[in-house]
Amino acid sequence: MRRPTRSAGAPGCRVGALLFAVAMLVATVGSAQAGEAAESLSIYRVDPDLTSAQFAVRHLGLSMQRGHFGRTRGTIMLDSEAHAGRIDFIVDASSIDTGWTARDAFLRGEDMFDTAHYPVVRFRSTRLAFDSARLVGVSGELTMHNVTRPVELHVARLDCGRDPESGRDGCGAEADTTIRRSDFGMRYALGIVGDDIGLSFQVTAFRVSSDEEADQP
Amino acid sequence: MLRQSGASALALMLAVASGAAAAAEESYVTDPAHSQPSYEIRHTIFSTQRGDFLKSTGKITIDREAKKGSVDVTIDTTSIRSHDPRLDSILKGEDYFNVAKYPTMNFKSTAMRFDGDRLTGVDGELTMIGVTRPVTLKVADFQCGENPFNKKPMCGAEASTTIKRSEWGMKTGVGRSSGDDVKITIPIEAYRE
Repeated sequence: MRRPTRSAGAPGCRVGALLFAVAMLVATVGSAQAGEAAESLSIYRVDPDLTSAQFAVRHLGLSMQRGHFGRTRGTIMLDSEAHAGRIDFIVDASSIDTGWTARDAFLRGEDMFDTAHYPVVRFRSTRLAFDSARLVGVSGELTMHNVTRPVELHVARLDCGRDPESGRDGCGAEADTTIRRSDFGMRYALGIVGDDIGLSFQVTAFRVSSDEEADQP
Repeated sequence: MLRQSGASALALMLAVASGAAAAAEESYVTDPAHSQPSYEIRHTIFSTQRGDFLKSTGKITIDREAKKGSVDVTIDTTSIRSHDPRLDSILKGEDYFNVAKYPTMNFKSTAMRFDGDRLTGVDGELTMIGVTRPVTLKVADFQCGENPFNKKPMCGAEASTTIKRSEWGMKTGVGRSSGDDVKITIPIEAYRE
């Protein structure tokens, strides 16, 4: 669909982001072959406007209810030759959106996400799994509601190339997993609202230089 | 939102309800808060864009013995929300839903498909931006029970289909910036009248 011009990103913590970017760069390059590794390393920044973090949960055992988080950010580093990389994806828990204000308030509240105390949900990769050159899975750790647990993401699609609209290099990916909310200490109303939570990520990320990356939140 | 905890009641009511089929035609009305239609469409080469419609109404009749029934769902097109708020006004505009002229879209059944007494599909007609075309909804997970709190009899399901928007004349961007195929998913929770 046709889109208006992209608005500028929000200002963020430059020093933290810089340290993060440098740490990621060092870690990624360090895990790859020396020399050419830096050449094949690409850094992508998640475009929040083109990225969707959706969840699905059974309600009353009768229907699958869906919602999404409106605010996401993150960095993806891929080394196409070394078949390595890093993913750091952050979801603003208070941006939960089910299309019903009262339900959203309940989900942000103490019985569920308790966003006043735990404002972000974060996924950090520990290992990327490739099938020849294709990224097929990501092992990592999900921190939610102050609990960190291992999670395996299944990557259904990863397409990289040039965006015909903006001319920018980017990647689009779809990844999904199922978690149990009780594993993260979110036990309220189990049985009424299901324990299994399907998570589905539609991610669009555009390539940035490490300098640009340092300027972003 | 249901605030009370009562997991065992739920299991019980579903076990009871999944037994005998109803003897005659029953009428149901959808609960809009738990029946929000959503859509997915490919955008450029990278992303799948998702959105939903906040407002819809639906009436369902079903006779599981006679294996007949009807579905009539109306979606308020002005309630469309893409997950990118900048897009909403574009989607409501003339190139897409043209909500000023067509404030609703409607699906009316022509036939219902059953496997035993379980509803598995609905054939019907979708009217969108003034064009009516046949559509078949796949119905998954159809089951009936009782709300454990207010004790009202209800049914749940998930209806889905994929349409080509160009068949309704919604062609802007097809083949250039976005896809023609639109996947529509409608969770259903409906209370018996």
